[in-house]
Amino acid sequence: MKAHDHRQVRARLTCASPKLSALARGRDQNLPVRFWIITMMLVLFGLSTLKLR
Amino acid sequence: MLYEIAQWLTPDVRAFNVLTYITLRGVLAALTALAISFIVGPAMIRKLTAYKIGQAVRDDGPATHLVKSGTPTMGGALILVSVAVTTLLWADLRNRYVWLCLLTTLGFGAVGWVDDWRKVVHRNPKGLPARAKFGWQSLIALVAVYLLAYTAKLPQQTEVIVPFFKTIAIPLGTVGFVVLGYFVVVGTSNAVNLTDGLDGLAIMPTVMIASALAIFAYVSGNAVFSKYLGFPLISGSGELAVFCGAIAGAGLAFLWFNAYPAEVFMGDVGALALGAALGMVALVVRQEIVLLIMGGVFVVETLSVIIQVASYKLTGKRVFRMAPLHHHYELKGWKENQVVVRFWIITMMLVLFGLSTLKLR
Repeated sequence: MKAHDHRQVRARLTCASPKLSALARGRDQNLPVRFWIITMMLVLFGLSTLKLR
Repeated sequence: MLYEIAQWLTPDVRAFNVLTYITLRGVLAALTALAISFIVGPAMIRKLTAYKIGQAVRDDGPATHLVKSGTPTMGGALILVSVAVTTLLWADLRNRYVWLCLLTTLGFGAVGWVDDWRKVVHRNPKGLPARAKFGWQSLIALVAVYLLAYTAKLPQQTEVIVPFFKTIAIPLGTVGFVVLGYFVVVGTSNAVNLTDGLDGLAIMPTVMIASALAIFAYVSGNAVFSKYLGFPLISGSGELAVFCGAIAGAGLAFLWFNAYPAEVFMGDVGALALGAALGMVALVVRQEIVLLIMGGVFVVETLSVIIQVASYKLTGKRVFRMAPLHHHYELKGWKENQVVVRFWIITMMLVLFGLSTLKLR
């Protein structure tokens, strides 16, 4: 069974819970986006040092 | 609230003076909205799941979307709570523009809430009837825009600024401004709603456009910058930078939970409200045409639906494989993530182009 077939099977079995559904669809896929969000937060914090002096 | 407290304390403790600056309050508003959403988000998602407030996925959409069925929706309420609390905390509450934009946003959010509630909780697939939904949106938009026009003190507050041209401004008068404002607010609101079809597709462009509008608001409200860049001074509009900062921060935090694979969707409560917020801010700072440019993704998504429906009704043929446009690319073979990130990149380019109108005049 191919890797994406396993994910499809897990998706059908775990649709009851959004977290499990998200896991079935590959939770690791939102890691890059979450790292981007963290970077944007740090950039905002860095920009605040323009004024907080 | 904190602005008033800072003003009160500044004569005794000079350090509090820093909290009266719009730029700092805008950044702090973004960080505060982020924090509130991060703290409240997980609990809210658990509550939505417990109450089985899950999205029903249309069976005539792409087959790959069926796995999203049951994902909690109405997460836009998280954004609105965060934006409202943050704005009340950091903005100057004596500023009428802040109240106009905030109340319009919450009003549209209420319309979206009722629609979502009926669809998801009452299991009524029609939700709020289209006429009622459109009627309420129109009423709220007309009242808000009329108040904006009625309280305008200078002619430039009701003129359309043409990007790239310093001396061209189209006077509209009160009636013309109300008509234009109505289309801007209702149009943007529904455009964002149509775009909200993939995980993270609507929220990131909203964050980018809100951030850009914060810059426009600051410039319009600052006597030095507005004169230097050739923009009409709209006294008091700078405070909207705080409101936009709150939207950007809340949106980023929501994206944490909404990025593919989404744990929560924003629903109509979020999409309608955020679109109305962007439209109102653009109206106040007189940058409707720039909003049209920066919101190009929203515009194209809306046009794709109009073209598809018109073509099918007139000729029986479809122009796109599926409308809105993001489904068309999915059916062409693009992965959902690819569609979303590529639309983000396009929005980033359009926002940069929109910001260039600050100087290219």
